[in-house]
Amino acid sequence: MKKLTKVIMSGAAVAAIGASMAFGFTACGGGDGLKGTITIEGSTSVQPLMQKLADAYMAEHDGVTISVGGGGSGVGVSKAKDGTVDLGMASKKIEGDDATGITAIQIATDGIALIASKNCTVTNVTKSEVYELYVNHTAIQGIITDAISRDGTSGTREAFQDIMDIETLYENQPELQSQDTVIQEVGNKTNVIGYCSLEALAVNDTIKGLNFEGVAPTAENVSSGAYTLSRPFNIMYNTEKGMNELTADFVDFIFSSAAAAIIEANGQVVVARK
Amino acid sequence: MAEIKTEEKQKRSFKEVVAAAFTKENIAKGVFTAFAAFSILAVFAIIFYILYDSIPAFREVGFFNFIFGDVWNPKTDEYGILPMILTTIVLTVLSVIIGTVLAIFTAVFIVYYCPKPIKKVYTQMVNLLAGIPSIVYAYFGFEMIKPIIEDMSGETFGYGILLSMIILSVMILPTIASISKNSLESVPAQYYEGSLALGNTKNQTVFKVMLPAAKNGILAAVILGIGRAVGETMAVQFLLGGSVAYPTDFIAAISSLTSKIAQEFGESTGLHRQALIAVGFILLIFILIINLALWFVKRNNAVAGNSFFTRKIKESDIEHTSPNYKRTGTIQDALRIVCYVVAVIVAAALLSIVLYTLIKGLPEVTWHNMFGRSFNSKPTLAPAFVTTTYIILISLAIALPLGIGAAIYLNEYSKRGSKFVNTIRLFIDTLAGVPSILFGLFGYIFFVKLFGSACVLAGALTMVLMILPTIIRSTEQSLSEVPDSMREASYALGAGKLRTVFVVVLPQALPGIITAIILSIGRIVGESAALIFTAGSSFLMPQDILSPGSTFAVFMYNLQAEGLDTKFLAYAAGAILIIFVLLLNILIMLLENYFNNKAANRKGRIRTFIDKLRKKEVKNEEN
Repeated sequence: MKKLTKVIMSGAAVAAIGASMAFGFTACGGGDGLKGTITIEGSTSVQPLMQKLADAYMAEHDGVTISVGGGGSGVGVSKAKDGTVDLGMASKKIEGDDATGITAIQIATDGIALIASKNCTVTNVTKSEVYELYVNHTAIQGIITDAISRDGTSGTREAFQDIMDIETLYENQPELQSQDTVIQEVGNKTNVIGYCSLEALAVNDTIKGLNFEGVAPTAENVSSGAYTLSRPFNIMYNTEKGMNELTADFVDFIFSSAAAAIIEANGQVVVARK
Repeated sequence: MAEIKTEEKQKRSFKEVVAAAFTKENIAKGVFTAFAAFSILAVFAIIFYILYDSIPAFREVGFFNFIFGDVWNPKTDEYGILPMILTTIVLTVLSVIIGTVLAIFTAVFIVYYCPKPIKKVYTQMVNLLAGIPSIVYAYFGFEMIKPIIEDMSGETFGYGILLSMIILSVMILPTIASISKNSLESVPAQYYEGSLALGNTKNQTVFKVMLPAAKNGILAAVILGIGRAVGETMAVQFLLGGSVAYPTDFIAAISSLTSKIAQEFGESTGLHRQALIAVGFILLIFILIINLALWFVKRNNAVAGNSFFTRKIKESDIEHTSPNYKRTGTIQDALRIVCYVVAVIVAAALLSIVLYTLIKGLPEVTWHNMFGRSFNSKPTLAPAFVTTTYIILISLAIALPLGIGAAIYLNEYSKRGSKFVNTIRLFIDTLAGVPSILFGLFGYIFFVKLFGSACVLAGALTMVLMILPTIIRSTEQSLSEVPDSMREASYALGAGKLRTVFVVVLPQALPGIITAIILSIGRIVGESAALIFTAGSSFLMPQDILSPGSTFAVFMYNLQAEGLDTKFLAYAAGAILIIFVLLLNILIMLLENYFNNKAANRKGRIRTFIDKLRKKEVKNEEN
């Protein structure tokens, strides 16, 4: 009997502690001035950049928590539309059906780099070579024999296939969920091509960016428009609902010079606010 | 006046009737019954919600086109899943064949050939293999086995059925091995002795008599293994390669039902999401069929057994009986050698997984990586500690009373063998067989929509459903081991049923309850597929239970999926998971020893007491 009482009491105590912890956490974080939470969700391509911007902002404002989730551009658009997030992220143009009910702000332009292993001898590829490999499994310059794709929900893949006019991939081509895995695979093999966000080039030393139609994948070339494999990074909010004070302040921060440095360091091209 | 009075009287008597019906005992019985019936509700809720959310996809795409179509393209809204169904079937069949063969040899090795000193350790080792989270298997397969396949085959990519099959067969091995071991051990000893008496060698006896005698139990084990293989998600998602195609090649990127859901669900919207839920529904149908088959096999088992005329083999029996009269049965002798080889392979597989994860991960387990402040772009594992603790506490706080209540009903209140009880058992088994990815889908459809977004609470509630069967079974098992004489003694002293249950029976069942808690913690810690969609994937410290958070296993998954240079942290999370699983296994072993010793002591005390009495009697007689 004693033992059971003990067990029940300790169980109750644990539950009580759990509950009080939970309520304790809920209680804090009110909403005066620059305190509160911003939720951002959407494109996994924009996510790393947004995470850095959010971290910089959070470091300046102690009372603010910005949670940056993934989900893909589609999720970013739909959640911005129904207003369940403060900001949605998309790594594609917001037009047509997507644009109804939401206001999009372009925060940067991102290049998509075609990548191969550091040890691969190919340095330049053309659009038709890439198309032939991805669609018909034809080797590029006799050296690059296989291609890797991202999975069907990737914004990078959508932008890449749009620019390359690729509809269907050759059979059994690996479609990997993360950019990281693509980079790892490409880095390990000298006969494989893949694609990723421009910023990944700087932090991974096993891969190199291939010149596309003779133009090097650099931020300058994206900025000048010479490098055509690029797409906008957008954030969106519900037009009717608008942005709250805190979110608006964060968006102002994204267009500050401090944020510009972060965007540049991340490998994207800074754009002016429209 | 008189009429009114009688009315009042009637009213009072009605009230009295109600009061009599609502005694403490009856209310308790009602509550326990409700708790037991909860499993039925849970299974129906899962089926209903997943079906309801997949109807739009079936209607839009057309059921026939959905099942028999072979193009899956979210961009053009084409959803055909025949290649994935076939891949799932091929992958399951192959890995179950390999896993079963390995598992049966392992079980035979443990029961008949394992040298006594290492028997306990080896059994524990197989249990450990069962406890390793699938995300750790995924990493191991991706980083260790895939390059080997690529080197040996000359293919550029090692993804595909071969790679997944290797990992999957090791993953389902412990399930099949431990159940096969149990059924081998419960084959009556007369079979063994009878066979030897007829002049068979030990090897012939083991492989031609004992193994066939245990076939029903082994069949049940294999069906359970099929269920696990069909439902496994995280490991195959890493290893299959993600391309939708028919399974014509062993080494080629491909997708199964589960891998497709895991790969695309998090980033899907609209019809695409509904189509993925519909894939989940097809998977659920597979699982339900498998569960029914299992139930059928088990029911036949129960009829075949006869506890009065069976006697379990003692280890000492095996030790003494290996007379070798004739050198026949070379096949069985060879099979014995295969047993040893398989045992070594299984041990090597386990060791390499554990060592690999620890060697890669331990150097990354630093103070900062564990407890530093976690940022979006520079995460640490601190939030994983908090989230994991939250989810364990919340889900245990809900599932324990539910599960214990259900077990009390099943063992103390129900009429054994009644239809209602059989139905409840069937549903508890079904719930136990539902793969975690489907719990994830259900948790997303039900809890996440309820709370508005993925959060720790939604994850914890999903986990309640997952750990409930474990708690019920384990508690029920130890309740059934409490001797009836204790209950009778309690009634004789005037205690009511409720009092007897709580004061006399339940404290005796403590070992089972504690085991259930440890098993549940193990399940929660290792879970990833069910939590990714329900508890979210934030790298930040959860602010409260309504904000998203990641456990270690989810961290490990997400660190792979993010495009950040944070892989080292995934290794650290892997090492922590392995250490955690090791600790839990050791804890279970210690507890078992502790309770066994306690029971032995009690028996010993009674025996010495009896001995003393006898001595006294002898003395009295002498006098």
